[in-house]
Amino acid sequence: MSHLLEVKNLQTEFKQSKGILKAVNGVSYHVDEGEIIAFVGESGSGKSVTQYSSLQLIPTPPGEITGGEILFEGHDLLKYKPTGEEMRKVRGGKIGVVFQEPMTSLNPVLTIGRQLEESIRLHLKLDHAASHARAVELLGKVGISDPESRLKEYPHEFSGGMRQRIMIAIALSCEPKLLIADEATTALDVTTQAQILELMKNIVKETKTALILVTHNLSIVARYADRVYVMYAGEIVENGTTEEIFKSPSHPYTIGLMNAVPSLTDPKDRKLVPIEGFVTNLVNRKDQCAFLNRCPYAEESCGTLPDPLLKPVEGEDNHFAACHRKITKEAKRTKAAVDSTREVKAFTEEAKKDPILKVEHLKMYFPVYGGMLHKEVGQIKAVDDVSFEVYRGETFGLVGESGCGKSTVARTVLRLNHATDGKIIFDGNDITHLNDTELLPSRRNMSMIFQDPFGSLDPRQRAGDIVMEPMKNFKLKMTREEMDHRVEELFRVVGLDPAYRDRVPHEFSGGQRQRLVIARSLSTDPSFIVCDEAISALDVSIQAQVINLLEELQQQLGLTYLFIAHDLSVVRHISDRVGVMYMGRLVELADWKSLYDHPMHPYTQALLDSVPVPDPDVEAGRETKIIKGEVPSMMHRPSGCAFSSRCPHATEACRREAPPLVEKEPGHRVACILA
Amino acid sequence: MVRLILRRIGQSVVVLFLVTLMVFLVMHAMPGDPVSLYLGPTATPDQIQLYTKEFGFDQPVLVQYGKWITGLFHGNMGRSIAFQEDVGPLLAQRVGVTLSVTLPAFIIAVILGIILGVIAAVNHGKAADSVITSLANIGISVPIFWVGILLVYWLSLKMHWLPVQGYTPLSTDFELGIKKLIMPVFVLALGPMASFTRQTRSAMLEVTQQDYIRTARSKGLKENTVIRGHALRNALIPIITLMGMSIGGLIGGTVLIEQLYVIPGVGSMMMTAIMNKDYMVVQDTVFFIAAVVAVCNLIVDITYGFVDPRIRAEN
Repeated sequence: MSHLLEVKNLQTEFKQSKGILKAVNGVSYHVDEGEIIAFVGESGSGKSVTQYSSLQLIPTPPGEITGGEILFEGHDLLKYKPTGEEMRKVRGGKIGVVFQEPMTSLNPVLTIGRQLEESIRLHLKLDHAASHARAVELLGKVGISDPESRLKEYPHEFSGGMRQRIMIAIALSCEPKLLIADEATTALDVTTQAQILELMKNIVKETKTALILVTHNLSIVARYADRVYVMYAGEIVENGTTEEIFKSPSHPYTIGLMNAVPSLTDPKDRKLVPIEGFVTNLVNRKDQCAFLNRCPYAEESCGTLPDPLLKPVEGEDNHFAACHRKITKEAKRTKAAVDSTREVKAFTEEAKKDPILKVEHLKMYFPVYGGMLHKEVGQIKAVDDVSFEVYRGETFGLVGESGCGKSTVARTVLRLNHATDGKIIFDGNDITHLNDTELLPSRRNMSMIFQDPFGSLDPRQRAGDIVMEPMKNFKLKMTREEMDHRVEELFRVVGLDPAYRDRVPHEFSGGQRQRLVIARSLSTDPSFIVCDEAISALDVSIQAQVINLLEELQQQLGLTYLFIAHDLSVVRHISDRVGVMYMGRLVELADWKSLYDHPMHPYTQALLDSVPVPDPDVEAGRETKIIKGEVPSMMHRPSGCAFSSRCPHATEACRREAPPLVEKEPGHRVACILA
Repeated sequence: MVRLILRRIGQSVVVLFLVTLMVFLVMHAMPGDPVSLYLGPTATPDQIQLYTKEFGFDQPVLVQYGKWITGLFHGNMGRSIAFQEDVGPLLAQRVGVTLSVTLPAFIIAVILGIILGVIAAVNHGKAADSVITSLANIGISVPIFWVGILLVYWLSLKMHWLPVQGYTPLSTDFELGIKKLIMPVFVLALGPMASFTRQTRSAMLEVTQQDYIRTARSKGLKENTVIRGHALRNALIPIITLMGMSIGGLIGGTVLIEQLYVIPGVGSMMMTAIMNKDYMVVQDTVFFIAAVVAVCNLIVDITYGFVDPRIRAEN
C-alpha cells in the first residue's frame, strides 16, 4: 500500500558565506491517513526545515532542495514549480500547516474572516456566501464562540490560544489530507497547549486526516504520537513506534534527550544527565556520525566510519536507529560515567524559623490610563495580597501561566517595582520603602538570572567586564587584581574557560551565555537569587546543564533560589517548596511532594492534568481532563475567587468572596473554600 | 477613531496658532519698512505716513496681530502692499498654479515609488533590485536645481522638445500648458519618488520575512496575492508616514522649482513678498501652508487607522 506522504532521501541545503549548510541530509519518512507522527529534536536539528521542504516553502536563495522525492498521493511534489499552480493546490488545499508563533502568524491588518475565507474560496471554489458559511462552521468547530461576529475581528482582538485555533481553522479550511503542526503549542501556556493538542487529535481521529507534530517536547510525543522520528543535525537518527522509542531507545541521542528532561513522575533523587558539548558545525559537514563529538557511548572506531545509516533494531520490526554500535539504555558509557542520582536535602524545623525572605500581603497595582487627559481610569492588580516566605538554602518555586503575576512578584521583591502595599522583609530588614542608597547593602545580597540569555547581555561588553560590573557598582573595595581574580574564579565556577573573558556575548552559545548570566549574578556573592524563567529559552540538553549547575552552586555556596517557571516538571525537579499563582494571587503553597501528590486547589489540579509525561505507558493509563476556557483579562477579574469562572466545582459562594490562603495541612496552604 | 481625529484636530489648532504668532513676530522683527520699500527712495514723508496709516502699520503690534487673526476668522486675509491686491484672491490664484505642479508630482512620486520599491523587494538581490536601488540613491542625492538645469539644457536647448520655462494655464492652451509642466513636475517628483522607492523596498523586505507571509504562502495563495493582498498592506504603514513627512519637503522644493522655471505660483509670490516685507502676504501664505500640512497630517492619521486596525483599537 502506498503511503499518503512518502519522502525519500530529501536533501536541503543553504548556501552561506562560509560554505554549504546541509540542513536536511537524506531524510526519509512516511505518514498514513489518520496517523499522528512526531518529529522530535532540538533547535537546529532540521525538523522544521524538513517540513517546509516538503511544501517547497524554503526561501530560495539561499535555500535549495538538492535531491530526493516527495511523494504525496503518488505524485512527486518536487516535480512541481514552488509557486506553480499544482504546488499551490497541494499547499493549503491538501496539506495544511499550523505554525509556531500564533502571535505573528496571522496578518495583523486583515480580518480573520478574510484570512479564512480567502483560502476557502481559492481551493474549494465556493462563492462569497458559501465560503462565509464554511468559515462560520470552521470557527465553531475549533471552539470559538459567536463565530459569526468574530469573523469581522482582527487578530489582535484574540488571545494567543484563540489565534492558534484560528490558524487550525485556516489549515483545516479545505479539508486537507495532512496537517503539519510546527511547534504549534510551544508558545502557549500548559492548559491552552493541552486544549489545542486535544482539538487537533480529535480532528485527526474524526476526519482521518494525518498529522505531523513537530516538537522538542518529548512528553507531547508520548501522549499523542503513533510513531516518532528523532532528528539530529539534519538527519533522522532513530524512528519507530512511540512505544518502541520510549521503551528501548537505541540511539545515544534519543537516550540523551530522555535523560535530560525532568518528568512529573520522576523520583526526587533523579539527577538530570545533560548531553555535553555542542552540535557540530553543519557547514561543509564531514562524512561521519554527526553526534560523535557529544556521544557518551562512542568508540574509537566510530570516528573512522562514514555517517551511519538507519538500521533495524534487533527484535523489533519497525524500529530503526542510525548508530554503528548496539546501544540500549543500560549500555556502558565510554566517556566518564555520571551520577544518575542526587542528594535530596531535608529541611529541619530550625531552618524554617529563619526565613531569608518574608513577603507579607504584597500588592503591586499598575495604573491604567485613558481618556483625553490621560487620567488614571483603573488598576491592574498584577499582584494582589501575596504572602509567603523563603527559607535559607531552599529553592522556592513559583508557577503559574503567563500573566499570573509571578514575574511581578520577583521584580517587586527585588525592589525593581515600588510595591503598592505590603511588606518585604529581606534578611531581617524591612526593605519595602528603603531608598536606593539604603537599599545598596541588601541589594548586593540578592540578584537575578533572566530568561533570555540573548537579550540580557550587553552585546558590546566583553564577557569579563559583564561579570565584573556588579563588583564595581557595589563599591566592594576590591583592587583591580582582586576583581580580575574573582572574575576568573567565577568563570571556572560556572564552567566557562577564563580564557574567554575577552569575548563578546555573540561569540558564545545559548547555554554558555546563560552561564555567563549566572556568573554575573554571583559576582557580588549574594545569598538570594531570583531565577526568572532562567531555563525556558534553552534547549533541553542545555536546560539540564543549567539546572545541574544551579543545584551544584546551591550546595557549594548555600544559595537560596526563588525559581520562577511555567514548566511544572522542571519546578518539581528543582524546588523544595512551590507556590501556585493565578491572576495575581497565590492559590496554593506547599512542599513539592504534597503539592504534586495531593494538589488541593482545582487550578493546581487542572495544571497538573494538562502536563503530559514523557512515558507512553503512563499517558495511556491517564485520563485527560482538560480544563475549559482561558485565563480572563486582568481588567475583568471575576468576582470572588478569580478561578470561579473556569472551576468545575465552583458554587455561588465562590463567586461572592475571594477565599484567603489558609493552612489546611501542616505546611500546605490553599485558597479555596472547597478544599 | 472619532476621538483620535478630534484630538488631532485639537493639536493642529494649537500648532496653527503658534505658527501665526511666530511668523508675525519674525516678520515684524525684521529690519526695513514695507511702505518705503514699496514707494521707493523718492517717496515723501507725507506719502509714507498716508500709506502707513492706510495699512494700519502705525498701530501697536498687538493690535495688528489681533486684526490679522480676526480677519482670518472672517475670511478676510488683508491687503498686499507690494501687489496692491487683496491677499485672498491673489493666494487662491497662485495656489492653483502651484497645485498644478505639486499635485501631479506627488501622485507620480507615490505611485511610481511604491511600484519600483515593490519590484526591487520582490527581486531582492537580483539585477532589477540593484538597478532600482542605484537609481533611487542617485535620485535622493542629486540637488534638484541641478537636475532642472541639466534637463533644460538637454530637452529644451539641445533637443528643442520642451519649452525652456514659463507657465501657461491649461485652460488657455492645453498642449503648451502640459509641455511646460512636464519638466517641473518630473524634477519635483524625483526626490520624493526616490525616497518612496527606498522606503517601500525596505518595508516590503521586512514584511516578507514575517511569519504571516509564510502563512499566506502555506495557504497556496498566488505569489501576486501574497505580495499585494498581504505584504503591501502591512508595508504601507511606514510609507504613509513618509507621505505625510514628504509634504513639507515638497513645498520647499516648489519654491526652488518655481524660481527655476519661472512659474507664478505660491513660492515665487512668497519670495517677492519676503523681499518687500509684504507682511500680509507672507503671514497669510505661511499660515496657509501650515494649515495644508496640518490637514495632510490629519489625513495621514486617519489613513493609518484604516490601514492598521491596531491603531484604531489603541485610540
